[in-house]
Amino acid sequence: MFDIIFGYRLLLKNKIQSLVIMSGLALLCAILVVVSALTPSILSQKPTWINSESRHVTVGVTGHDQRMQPSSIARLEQLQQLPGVANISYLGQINTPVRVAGKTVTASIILIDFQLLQKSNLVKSTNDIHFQQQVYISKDFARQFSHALPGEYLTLEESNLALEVAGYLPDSLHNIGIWQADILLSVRHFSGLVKVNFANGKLETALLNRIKNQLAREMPSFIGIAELTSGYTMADIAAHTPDKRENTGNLSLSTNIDNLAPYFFPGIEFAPEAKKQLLRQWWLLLILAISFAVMNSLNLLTMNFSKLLERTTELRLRLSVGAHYTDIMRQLAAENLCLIAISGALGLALAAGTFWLTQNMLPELHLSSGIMIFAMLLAVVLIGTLVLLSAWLPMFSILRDNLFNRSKSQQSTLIGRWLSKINVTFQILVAGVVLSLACGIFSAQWLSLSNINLDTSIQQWSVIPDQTSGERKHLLPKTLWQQLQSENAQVALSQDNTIKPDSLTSEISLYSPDEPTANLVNLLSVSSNYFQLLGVSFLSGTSVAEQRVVINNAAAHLLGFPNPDAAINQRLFIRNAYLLGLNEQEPIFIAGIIENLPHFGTLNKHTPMLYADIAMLKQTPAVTVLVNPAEQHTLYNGVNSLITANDPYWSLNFDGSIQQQLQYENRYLNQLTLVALTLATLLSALAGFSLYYQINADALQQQTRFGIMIAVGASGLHILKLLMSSLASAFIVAVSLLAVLLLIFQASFRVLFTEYSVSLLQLLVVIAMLSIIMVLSCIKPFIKTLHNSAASLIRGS
Amino acid sequence: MADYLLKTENLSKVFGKGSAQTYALNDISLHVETGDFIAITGPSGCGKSTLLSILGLLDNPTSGDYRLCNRNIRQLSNYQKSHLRNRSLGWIFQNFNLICDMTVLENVMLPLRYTKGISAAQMKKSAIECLQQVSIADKANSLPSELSGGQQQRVAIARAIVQHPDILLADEPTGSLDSENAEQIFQLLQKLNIGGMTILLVTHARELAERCNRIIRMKDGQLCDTEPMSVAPDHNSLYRA
Repeated sequence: MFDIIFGYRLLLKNKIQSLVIMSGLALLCAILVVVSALTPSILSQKPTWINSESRHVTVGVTGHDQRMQPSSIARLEQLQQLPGVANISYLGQINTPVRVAGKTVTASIILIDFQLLQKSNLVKSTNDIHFQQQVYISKDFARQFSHALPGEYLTLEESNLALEVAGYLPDSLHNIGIWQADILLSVRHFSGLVKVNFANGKLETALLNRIKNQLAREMPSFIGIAELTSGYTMADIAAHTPDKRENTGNLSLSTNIDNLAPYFFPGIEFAPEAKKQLLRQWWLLLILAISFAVMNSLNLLTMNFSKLLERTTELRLRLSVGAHYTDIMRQLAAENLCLIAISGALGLALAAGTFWLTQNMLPELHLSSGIMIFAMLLAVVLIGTLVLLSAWLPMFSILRDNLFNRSKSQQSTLIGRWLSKINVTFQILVAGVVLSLACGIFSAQWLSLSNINLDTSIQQWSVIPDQTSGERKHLLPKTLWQQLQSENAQVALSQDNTIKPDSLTSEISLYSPDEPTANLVNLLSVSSNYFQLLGVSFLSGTSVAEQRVVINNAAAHLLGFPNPDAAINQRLFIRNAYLLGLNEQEPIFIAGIIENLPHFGTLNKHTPMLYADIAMLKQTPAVTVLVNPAEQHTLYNGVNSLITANDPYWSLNFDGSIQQQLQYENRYLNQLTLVALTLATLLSALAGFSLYYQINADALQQQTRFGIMIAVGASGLHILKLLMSSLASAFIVAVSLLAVLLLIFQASFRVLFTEYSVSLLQLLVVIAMLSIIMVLSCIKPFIKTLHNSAASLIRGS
Repeated sequence: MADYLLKTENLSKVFGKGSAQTYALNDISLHVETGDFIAITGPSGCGKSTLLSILGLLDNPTSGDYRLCNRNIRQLSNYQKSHLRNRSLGWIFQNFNLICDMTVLENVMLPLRYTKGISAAQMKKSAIECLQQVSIADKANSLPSELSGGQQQRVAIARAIVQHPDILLADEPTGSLDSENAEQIFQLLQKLNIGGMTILLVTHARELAERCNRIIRMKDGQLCDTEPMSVAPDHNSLYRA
């Protein structure tokens, strides 16, 4: 207890240093908790429901491209009969029209049997009968509609079957297996979705249903996931399944390990893209955790070494009054208990917050409290070990010789000198990296906000149906447009908000939207004066018109045009062009190319966009009116006239100016910048303290030399020069490494931070900041050295 | 053979190797009996402090035998040496060597904390008693930096006697003090000696050495003269000044 109180007093002795060291340890603790809590979920190669991976086999047929393609239910049922197969689950896909909220759209429907749904934990449904009456929709699909769909009924056009929209699929489920998912549906509805066309009139319903059932069994639309009984392997099944029926190739069998290798955690193991994204962030966290652990260890080692060098008299005294080395070890451990306790508590609180956020943002990870508690224990044990080792190792180094021979105990070894150089280099390098990142992110934010190529004073007003009226109405944009034009208002229309459009996506191509190289773009219907009002310049061509669309520069790049001029008047194929009111039977041409606009915030300026004439839309659930602030009254008059003349249920809402909305969309970047700057400050402070302790230790070890120098006439400047020269070589090496690292990883940083960039000027600023840290860390040891007389320096007291 | 509290035979300490070898101590043979008050004197660099370090188990001799409290030091483990330092030896240094982040009381309690089986209350009681013995109990909760040099040395003496050691080793205890404080500290040591404490005192001050009951003179690492004082210490001097 005495030692703990003594340790607490030592912490209080220098509050700022203690706070910085504790913050560093707390941050390390939090990162360790998050990394270790996420690791099992991210690195798991199989879904949790697969107890024995060798007993699960994914079944399909080998396509021309030698990749797995769907098989038929009939074929999979045959497999079910084979010895060794306990059961087979089905996963299939079909494109079919569905009607929801009065709108008919073609959707990609994923068919899944209840058994697989339960096992894979994709969504929670109580039983098979219940699931047969429900559908789950993706959020992408839901964006086509202006209101929330859960609770409403969705009708399968082909079978005229109405099913309740039970909820949304998780964000990460854009792809299930090899298919994109709009709607998740019970496999039992498959036969009803098979489309049968006969040239000569209608068939009897019973006959039609029989034909549909037969076709549904034979159509190659499913992959199966077979569970084998104990003792059977994939080879046993393969031996019994020579494929004679499928005309495209042999039956393909592979273990789930092969197929699920790209997938990673329970519940969304069918989403390889999500894994790639998370894995990248996990690697980043791991690198951060390792760097942080190394940095903190070096910090603590240096600090303890320096402090113990200053405390040799005390250690000597403790030994003289009967303390054994084990007593000293116990004392140092107790002294550091305060540091571990406070840092651990701070770190765990931080980790709990981060964990809660992760749980809420990524529910698919299925992070349990058990994992969290285990991760917390692991982090505390690691931090404790780190702190204790960093307290004991310097003690062994100092006590390696006779502690009572001061000159010997304070001499540095060759290894010690090299470790000191490595520590200094590492600390400067880490500080340099974090400062460069913070500067990069800060300047990226600055640039992204200052390089807005729009008139940011333009205001946006949404015209939407009154939701309380009970009637669902749609606007007629053409009527609104004509009304506003008659008022002579300087306004433009768009189907949705400019800065945060809830836009549709579709594939476009110069040849056919069905070709594999078709590119996904966001669609937005706008009036022909939209670009002019916003002050956006055309890189080439003119604005939207009937059957003539405008694309942004990013889309032009995607389509492979060498320059904007080359795109003008080129024919464009757009999947589901009817959604934009365009006539799909007539050719559609590119009318113009515009600069990239910050439609999804300043970080996403490079999103490919396609704009069509809003006048082509027959109706729309809402319209955004863009207006110059000076023209607001004309807008009121126009909209009020329209409401009075046509329908009393529309309302006009102010959405803010472009400037305000950009600031709102930029809030995450602001937070990121704040976090980056805070982290950079903390890590630079940690590096600074580590440098200080290192120089202090060096100064203590060299005090006899300094004493002699002063005795023979050296000035304080000479001492300072000598102290700084010990850092100079490490500084040069660290800065060179920093430049190389930034050059190598600049592309990766850009992927992570989108607008990240490091210019030569920023690098020079960082070097200047590092120099300041270095000089500041030298000052106190220098003053402490000069505070002693030459005689006492020579004596080493 | 008589049972001495402390006895050395041909004790030597060599620093350096080969041609750079230097004898800090050369063939030192001495014995100390219970109740002795011995002064070790000699010019600077003659090996007084090295001898005291070896006698106080802070350093090891290069050769020779050393017995302390009837135990051969060469045969003791580090742990046993720590135990012996804790129980049988008390140290007083020239620079007091108090731990500046501990209060006076905590400094005095320090040796007790390395002894097993003593409760915190017992430690405190013993420490207060010793502080009373050196007349500085009123400063128990002060920090060393708040005390004068003489007061700090009293605290150091209290710390040295708190375990009731067999021998008190004092390395120039008056070296950093003015004459008045030096006299007071010496009188305190005399008082402890009268109480039965064996004291080995390294000092440059001839007048203090002469007030001990035996003087050991050293030169170039060797004992050159051991002079028992013919006259018993002047205990009346305790009440002077």
